[in-house]
Amino acid sequence: MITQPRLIERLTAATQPVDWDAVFAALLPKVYRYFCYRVGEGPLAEDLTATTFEKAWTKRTRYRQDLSSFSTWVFTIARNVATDHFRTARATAPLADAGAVPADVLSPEAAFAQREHFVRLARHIGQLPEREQELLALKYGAGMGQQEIAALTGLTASHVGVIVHRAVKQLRAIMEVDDER
Amino acid sequence: MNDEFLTHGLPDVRPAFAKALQGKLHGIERRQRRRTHAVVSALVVGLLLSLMLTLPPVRAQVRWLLREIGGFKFVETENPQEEWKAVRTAFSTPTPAPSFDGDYLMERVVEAFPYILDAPVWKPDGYAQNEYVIIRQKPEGTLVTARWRPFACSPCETYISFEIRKLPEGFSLIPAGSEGVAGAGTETINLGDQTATLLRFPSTNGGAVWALVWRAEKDGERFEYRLSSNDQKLTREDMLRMAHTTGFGWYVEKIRQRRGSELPMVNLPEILAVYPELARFLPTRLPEGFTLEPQMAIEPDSQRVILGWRGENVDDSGHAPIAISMSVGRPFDVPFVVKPDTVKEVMVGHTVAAMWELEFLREHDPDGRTYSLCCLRNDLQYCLSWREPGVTFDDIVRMVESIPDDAGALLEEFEFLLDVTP
Repeated sequence: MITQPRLIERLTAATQPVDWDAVFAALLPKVYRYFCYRVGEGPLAEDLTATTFEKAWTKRTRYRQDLSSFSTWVFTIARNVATDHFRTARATAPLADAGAVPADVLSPEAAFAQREHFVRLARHIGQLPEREQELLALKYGAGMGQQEIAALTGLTASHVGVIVHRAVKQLRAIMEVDDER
Repeated sequence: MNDEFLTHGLPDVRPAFAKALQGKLHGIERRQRRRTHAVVSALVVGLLLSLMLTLPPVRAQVRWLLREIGGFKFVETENPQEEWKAVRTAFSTPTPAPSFDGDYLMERVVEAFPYILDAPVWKPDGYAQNEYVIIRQKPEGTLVTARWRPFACSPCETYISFEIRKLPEGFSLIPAGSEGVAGAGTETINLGDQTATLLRFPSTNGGAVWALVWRAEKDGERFEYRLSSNDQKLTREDMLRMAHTTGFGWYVEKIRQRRGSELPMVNLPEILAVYPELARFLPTRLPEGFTLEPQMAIEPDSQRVILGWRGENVDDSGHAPIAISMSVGRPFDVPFVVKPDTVKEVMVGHTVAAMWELEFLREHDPDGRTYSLCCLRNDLQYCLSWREPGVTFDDIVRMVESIPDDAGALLEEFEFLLDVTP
């Protein structure tokens, strides 16, 4: 049977306040970029980002700091949203459609160059296996560390490192071949 | 590993999208807050109902409570300003205390003599309360008496009587003994913090009379109580049991004083995530489509929690109302089964339960009927309220039957809930 002090400690840890506006500002770009990696840049990534935050916001009272970092919690939701999306769309390589960015959103040359690069990158990432796509999206889209990804995916941190390393190597090779064409 | 090419050119979030999303989230928050307020209100009402309806006499108290808690009277008028002046004048003029001497309906005198609600909650089977309260003005103070007689016994000499006398200044709290009572046998009894004297003496009709006398101080005022009966079947234990269930009218008063204050609310899924054993308090079988309301209210004084379940039916305002509410906690210090004529005993499995309709809600809810059922399971007192149509008695029976049998073992842990309240 749990002791009273221990219980209070657990409950106290569970009820620390969270600065939701700060959390939103910090995580929005990460979640959006994660979805850009998963489904391509554009309205669909925005829709899935919005769905993720709405779910997180609605369930935010259930979040407990002692169980996981808030970022991990939000990305758990994001991954579920992505899974739901793919299940519905029955498509796992939507990155080929990347680039559906409204013309008035990005401006002039820099934006164009960035967009070109990402469109190309996205096209190649879409050729990788699903698991590698997911891990690249978490690492480079969401900017997560290996430990965080490990906590989220259930893999060990070293395993995450190995898979990402191989995926990057494979991706670079694909891009070099593409450059030579 | 050179992986810069993977982070080069990452798209930024459109400011317009970020702003729109943030606005949407705050909109959700506002809706949740409104919903929480609605939940709090519903749960508070549920709590009040479950508390006040466990106290007899049910009808009189309910009316009294509604009048006290509601405190509003709406009158249509053609000349509001004049009416308002009259109302203000009436409120600013102290009303002289009415002088009662005679027999009065309980609801008429309960405001002047609220301590009549201290009458025993428990009575032996078959007794019905006399709807009249006897008030006598005596030199030693006003004597207020409630009486019970065997049901359908008329003419009837058998009675249980509970007299309350407000003692003037200077009276000690030591109760009167058997002085002046010929042939009385006496016994000193501890009644909570008070010392009481139990008397047994011959009655004028040949039998014997029980009388239990004690004095107590409440809110700075001193009272003398005398519980007596000439019922020859009544035992000493019956007398003591009745005496132990006196004084709960003050609990109602306490509720009245607490009106307007909000009950502490906690998030139930959060608590259950930390302390999953608490789920053993909860019924496992629910009517189809019902889900547990995540907000749980805590009534700190009585250590009861109040929960609710929503069905799938959505009302006009777009949300499903709480259709079943349940309070669970330590039993009151009294057996809750009271027997005014509106309460009937029902069996829930092998458990005896008290069930009644909240008739006064018909006025506000002509299309529905709201019922309450209270029973003891595993040393915990469960009171469920539900509205028909939508939920049936059988649904409630199944819920009660599905309460795990080991829930009582959690009683000791109940206090922790108080530590997580805001």
